[in-house]
Amino acid sequence: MKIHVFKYFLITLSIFIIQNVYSQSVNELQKTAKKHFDNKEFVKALQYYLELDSLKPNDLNTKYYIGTCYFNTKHQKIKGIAYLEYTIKHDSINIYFNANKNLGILYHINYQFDKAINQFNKYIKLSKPYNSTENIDSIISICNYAKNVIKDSLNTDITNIESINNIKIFGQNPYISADEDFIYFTRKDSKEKETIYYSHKQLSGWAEPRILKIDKSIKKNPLSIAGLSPNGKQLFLTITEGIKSNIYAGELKDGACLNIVKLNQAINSNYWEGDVSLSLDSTSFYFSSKRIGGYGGKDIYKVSRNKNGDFSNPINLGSEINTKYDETDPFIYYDNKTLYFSSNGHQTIGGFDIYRTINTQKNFWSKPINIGYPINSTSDDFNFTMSRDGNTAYYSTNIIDENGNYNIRNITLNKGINYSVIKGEILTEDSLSSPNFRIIIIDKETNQGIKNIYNPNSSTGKYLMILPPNKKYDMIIEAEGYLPHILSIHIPDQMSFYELYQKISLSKIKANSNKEANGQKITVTNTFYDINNSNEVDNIHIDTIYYKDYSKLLSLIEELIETTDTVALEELDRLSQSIINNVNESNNTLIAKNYNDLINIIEKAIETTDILVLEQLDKEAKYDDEISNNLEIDFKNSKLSNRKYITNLNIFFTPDSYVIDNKFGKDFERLVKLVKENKDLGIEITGYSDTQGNKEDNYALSNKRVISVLNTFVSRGIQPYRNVLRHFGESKFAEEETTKEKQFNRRVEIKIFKIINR
Amino acid sequence: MRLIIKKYYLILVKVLFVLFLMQSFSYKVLAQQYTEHELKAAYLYNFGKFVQWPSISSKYFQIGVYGNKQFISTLTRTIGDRSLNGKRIQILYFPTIEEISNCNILFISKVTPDELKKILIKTSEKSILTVGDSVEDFCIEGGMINFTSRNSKFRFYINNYSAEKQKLIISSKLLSLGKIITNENKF
Repeated sequence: MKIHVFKYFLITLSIFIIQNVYSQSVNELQKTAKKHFDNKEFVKALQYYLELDSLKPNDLNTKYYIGTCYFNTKHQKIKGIAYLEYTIKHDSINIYFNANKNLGILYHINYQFDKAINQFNKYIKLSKPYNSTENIDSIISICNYAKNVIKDSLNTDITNIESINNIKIFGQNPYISADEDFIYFTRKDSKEKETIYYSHKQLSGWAEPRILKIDKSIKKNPLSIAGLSPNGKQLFLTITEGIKSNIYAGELKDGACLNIVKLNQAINSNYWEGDVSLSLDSTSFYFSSKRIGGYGGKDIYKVSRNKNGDFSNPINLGSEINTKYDETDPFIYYDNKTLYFSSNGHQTIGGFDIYRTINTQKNFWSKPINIGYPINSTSDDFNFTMSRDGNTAYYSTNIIDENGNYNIRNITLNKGINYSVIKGEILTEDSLSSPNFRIIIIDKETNQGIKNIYNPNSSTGKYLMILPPNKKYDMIIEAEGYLPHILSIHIPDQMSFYELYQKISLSKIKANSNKEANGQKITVTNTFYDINNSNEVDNIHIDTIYYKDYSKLLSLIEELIETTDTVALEELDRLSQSIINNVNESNNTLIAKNYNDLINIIEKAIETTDILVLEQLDKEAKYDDEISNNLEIDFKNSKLSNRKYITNLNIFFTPDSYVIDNKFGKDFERLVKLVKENKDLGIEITGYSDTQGNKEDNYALSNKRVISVLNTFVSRGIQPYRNVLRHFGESKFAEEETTKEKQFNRRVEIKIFKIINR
Repeated sequence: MRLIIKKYYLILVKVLFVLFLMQSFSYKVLAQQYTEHELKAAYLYNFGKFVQWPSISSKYFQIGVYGNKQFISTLTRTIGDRSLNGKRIQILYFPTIEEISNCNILFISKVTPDELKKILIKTSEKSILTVGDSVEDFCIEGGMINFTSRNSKFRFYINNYSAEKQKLIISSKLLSLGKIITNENKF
């Protein structure tokens, strides 16, 4: 009996001990894991948690921590998805609601945008008021944007570059010479120290990379590549000296970088500088800098060099390109106009993306375009560089492969981009007054207009057209004061992207010494610029001379000017003045407002910390503040020669009517929006009628038309002082032979202008 | 009969009360519509009530404006001839950073990040309540109160650390209405 008792005792004891040891080891593990986790040593913590998971499967806490550890690793993030999914699925009381946010971020990285958005919304719903959800909103918008970008993904081949022995060349920050003969890149060792490698292109592929020898005096400081000159003879380095980084240049010779010198102080400041791109003609430097005076973070600057080798002051590329976040890795394409760069401040599909912008005018850059998926990924994409023939590009992505290495990515670009871009410029003989003009392109097959024509503002005279290939087009140039000009264009069936520059010159031809011009000439110069063979530039001149009796048109304009009688103008001024007075009266009531109420309500709300009242106040307030509009520009008395016309709209009327047709609504709203957003724009409203009926009645009718347009603008919130009114009665601009021409005469011309030389 | 009248009277009172409640729930706070700047001017005046200055030696309570000159007229109109801390309010306009002098509240609008930095350096040693007109990174750079842009969850951001450093005491009521930003939020 006793023995039995003892036996039972032993068994119980041993069970107890085993259990104890087991639970102790679990407890130990948990403690160590949590300790590492709290110290942000996620890789270490992960080992313990994984061990725990094998001992105690299906433990929610362990799954959550494994998921979170993976989330915090550098390159295994995606593995966290399964664990976090498990946690959320079994977490009935939402203790781990934070997991929603992390899972959302992982889904985004993994291109599962809809799932990511769902998860973020769930997080927002569950989050407490003190949790910040501001970042979440921005990630949701990134996801939404990424969805669209991925939908229109590019047809490109992306490969990782390999050496002749079919070994992947790993590294980051690739720079190639324009002829694609040399590639320079960096590799980081475990201590994040960078070493520069280079490779030479053989017939069958890249040679095995070698380490670039660098002058010992420089080598002490941490350095990296900043850029390569297009001819491949000069290497730029970023060298860190204490807290600042400066750009140096060295000559490349026989696998070594020699005679390294610090670049001019126009480029180097007391802040971080790096990432240089030198234009093909070596006159412009683009670089990234953190200096003060920028828009925040790293900004891209440009420095020009004149013939004597003097540097200009650095110019910030402006708010279109630089944001408060980072803009890095400029790469100026060989046309000296197209700039590629990386940024995390523009619309991104995740992290840094690569963008393209075009230098349209001096110091003016077009809105950067995200170059799209799959080149841009949800991770950081940077260091974009292109070969001169435009066929291949190289760049880096912050993703490691199965061996833990970064790969240099190589894209073949000439697929699928076979549209032709025609960029052009309209010039007049008398360069002071560039006329209003319009370009219409008609597809000869379908007889329909082509949409992708960007008519310019008349101040620059520049335009842009994008035309599909293998088609014939009619180009119609309508310029004010010139007769329409038709030109045939044939875009051949082509395999790659073409750019075409076109220049249209408008000039009046004077016969003999007679002062009056009696003819006009439109000259169209086409420069076909084939970027695949950029050495050869074909010039094709098409001279078209168009003679017509010009005196008739001229006398017509003269008449138009003469009919601007002052009585009518005064009448109009009186009318618009009465509208101004009406508005001013309502402004006067503003002044009589009772501010006691406002101040007291706010005081009471703060006293009682009543946020609802404050919110309500905010909602009720008129935000489009009239105060900032108070700077009244005297549009009315501005000289005609000082008006720069931005855009125009013709409103056509039915006979004897001054009611604006609804079909103009959309165009109208566009103008209203434009004028509202730009306080320095004025509106010129000029009314006409056809020649049917009594001349005086027509005169009054054209006035009524002007007034109804004015009223429409005023009712949309445009201040009357911004409108300049004129009416001319019967218009003889078009010969009234057909009803269509009559209709053309029954119009109000709305022109939006800016005053120059104010 | 009198009882019935009394009963109806009570019901009427109740109905009126309910109506009043309904009214106050679907309320419109003000009969008139105010502009954004008027609203900000009124806030600015009230900041003066809910912030304590160490001591005001000048004759007037001074509100300075840098940036948006047009705001002056709104501010003058809104504040009228009110006083703060027992002193008449004087409104000052500073066209340049150099001209920014001692004042009690400085309203900063339409500034570049560089200008902001310079202004904040200039005011850092003085007990000036700096108020930003939706200036980006205002509080992170060390400004004290920044109006947020419209439809933001908070009316304003407050950097109480900066205020305390410059010996200003912001009322806890005001603090509870704004989002607290510290200099550590910088990155």
